[in-house]
Amino acid sequence: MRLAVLSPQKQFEFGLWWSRIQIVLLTIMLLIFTLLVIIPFVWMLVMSVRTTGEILNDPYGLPNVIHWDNYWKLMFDPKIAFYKYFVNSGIVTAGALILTLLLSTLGGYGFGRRRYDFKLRGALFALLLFALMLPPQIMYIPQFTMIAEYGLLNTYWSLILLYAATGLPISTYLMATYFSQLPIEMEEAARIDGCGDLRIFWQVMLPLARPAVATVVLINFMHFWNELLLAMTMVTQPDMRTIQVAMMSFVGEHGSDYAIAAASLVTSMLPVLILYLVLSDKFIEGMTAGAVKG
Amino acid sequence: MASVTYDHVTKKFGDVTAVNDLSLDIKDKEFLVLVGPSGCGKTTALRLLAGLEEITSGDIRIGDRVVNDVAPKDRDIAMVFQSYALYPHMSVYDNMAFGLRLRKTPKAAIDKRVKEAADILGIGDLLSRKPKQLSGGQRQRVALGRAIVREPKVFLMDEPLSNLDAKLRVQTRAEISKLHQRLETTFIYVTHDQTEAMTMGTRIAVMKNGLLQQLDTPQKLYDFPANVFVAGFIGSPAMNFFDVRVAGTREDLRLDAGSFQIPAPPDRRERVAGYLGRNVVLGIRPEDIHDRNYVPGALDGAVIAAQVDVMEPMGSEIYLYLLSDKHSFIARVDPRSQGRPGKAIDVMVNLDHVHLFDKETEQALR
Repeated sequence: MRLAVLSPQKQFEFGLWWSRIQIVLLTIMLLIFTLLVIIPFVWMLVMSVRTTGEILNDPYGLPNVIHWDNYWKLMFDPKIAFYKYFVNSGIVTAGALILTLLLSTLGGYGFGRRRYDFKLRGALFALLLFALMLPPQIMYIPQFTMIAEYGLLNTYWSLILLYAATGLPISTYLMATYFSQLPIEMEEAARIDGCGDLRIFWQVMLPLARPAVATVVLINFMHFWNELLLAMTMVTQPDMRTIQVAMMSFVGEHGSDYAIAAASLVTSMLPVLILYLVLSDKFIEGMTAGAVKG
Repeated sequence: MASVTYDHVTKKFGDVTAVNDLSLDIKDKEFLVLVGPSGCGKTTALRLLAGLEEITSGDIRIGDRVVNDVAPKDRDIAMVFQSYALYPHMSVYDNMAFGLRLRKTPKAAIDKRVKEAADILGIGDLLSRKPKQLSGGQRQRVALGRAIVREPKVFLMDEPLSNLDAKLRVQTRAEISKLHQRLETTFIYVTHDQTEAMTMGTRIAVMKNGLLQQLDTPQKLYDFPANVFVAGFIGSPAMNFFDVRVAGTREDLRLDAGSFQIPAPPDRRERVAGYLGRNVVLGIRPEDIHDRNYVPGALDGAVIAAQVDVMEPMGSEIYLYLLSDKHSFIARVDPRSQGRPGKAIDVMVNLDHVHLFDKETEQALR
C-alpha cells in the first residue's frame, strides 16, 4: 500500500485544522467539568427558595413563587434557630484558626530559617511530616479519651484544640517551606536596623509570607468549618452543635424538610465562598510560590 | 565617625577558612575597598564587621571599642546589601524610617532626616512608593538612603552596584564617591570589580583565599603590586606574564623568554643579579607595550618581534593580541597602529615599567 504524502501546504493546513479541533474538544471537556461542579450548587440554590412540598412533587423543577422566607425561618424560627449553630461554628473555627496560625507561623519560621539550627530540628520536622500521613480516623479514640479525661467534652475547647492539632502539621509545613525561600538579607537588614528575633518575625518576615498565611487560613477555615465527625463525637449537647451537625437534623429526624436543608446548605457555604473570594489572589500566589522566580 | 581595626581576625566555616588572620587598620573617614575574586573572603570580612557572622579568633574594633560580642544594631554601622534587601511591604519612606523608629527617634527628627537623605539622593518624589514600583537604580538609592538616615559611624557596602546596568553603574559609582566626600564618614566597600576599587577607594585591600595580599592606595597597587596575584588582578586588560630566565653576565643582565630577550631593568639590576641562571616571572602591562612606530616620547625600551593574532579597536586605542613563539600577550597600542591579524609587528616594551616576581614565592622583586 502506498502511503499518502501530503504537500507542505496541506500539512500546514492539516496542522491548523487539528489544533482548532483540539481547542474545541478541550473547551467541551472544560464545559462538562464546570457543569458537573456547578449543577448541584445551582440545584441547591433553587431548592432553597421552594417549598418542601414542591420539591417532593418535582425535585428538578423551578420555584413557582420564590420563598426567601425559607432563610428567615431557618435562622430565626424558634424550633430551628440556625443562627445559634452558626455562632457555635464561628467560635470554634475562629478559635482553632487563631491557634493554628499562631503556632504554625512561629513553628514554620523556626523550621524554615536556617538560623535556628536547634537540636533535633530535622527529626522534629520529619515527625511533623509523619503526622501528615496518618489517617485522622485512627486518632479519634485516643482524642476522645483525652478530651474526656480533661473534662472538655461538650465545650468549644474540645473542638478548638482538636481542630488546631489536625490543622497544624500541614500549616506548619506550608509556612516552613515558604519561610525557607525568603532571602536572608531581609533578616540581616532588619537585624542591623535594630530588630530582635521576634520583631524580625513579626514586622518583616510574616508580612512577606502573606501568601502562605492566606493559604493556611483558607485551607484550615474550610476544614474546620466543614468538619463533621469530631463535631459529632465531642459535642453531644444540642445547643453546642456546629452547623454541620445541626444540618444533619433537618433530614430524617421529624421527616425531612428539604427546603430548609437546602437553605442551610447555602448559608453554610457562604463564609467559605466569601473568604475564598477575598483571599483567592494570595491563595494562588501561595500555592505556586517558588514555581517561578518572582 | 570612627576608625575600624581588624586585629588578626580569622573566620572558619567548618574546615573552610574564609578569612585568615586578617589585620587591617582603616582610618577615620577613609574609603576602603575590599576587592578580590569570588570566594576570597571579602564579603565575610565585611559581615564580620557588621556582626552578621561570629569571629572565630581575633578582634574587631570600631573606634576604641572591641565589637566582637556587640549586637549588629549596637555597632553603629549601616549596611547596603547587594540585593538591596528593601522591605517589600513598606513604602520608601517607611523603609528609610524603620531603623530610626526602632531606636525611638522622635517623629519630627525622623521626618527631617528621611527628607534630607531623600533630597541628597534625588528620591524625594518616590517616598510613598513601594520598592516593587521602583527601577533598579532607584531601589539602589533607597538602600543608600536607608543607610544614610542612620548617620552611622561606618558605612558598609556589599557589592551595591553589581545589580545595575553598566551605564548606571558608572554614574552611581561617582555618586557614592560624592556621598563619601559629603558625609565624611568611614566607608568600607566590597567589590569584585577592580575598576570600582580603583576609582572609588582611598585605599584598596586585595584579598585572595581569605588572605590579605596587599593594602595600599590605588596608584601604588597599580605601580608596585606586591605579588603576581595583585599584579594580575589590578589593571584591565590584565598584566602579561612571561616565564623568563635571567641570563648574561652581572654587568649585562638579560631576561630571556626564548623568543625574545630584554635587558634587566636598570633600577633592579642588583636584585636580579641574585637570580642569574634561574627563572623569574616577568610582568608587563598591556599599556607598557607600544607599537614601535608610535612610541610616546623618549622611552628606555626593548623591542619584541611578534605576530598579530587578534585586533580589537577600542576607538581611543587598539588592543592587539600578539604571539611571540609560545608566548601570547596583549598590547594596548596607539590607534594609528597598522598591526592587523596575521601581520608581523615590532613592539617596544617600556623597561622602566616592567615587573619582576620570584617564581616560587610569586613576590615582587624590588
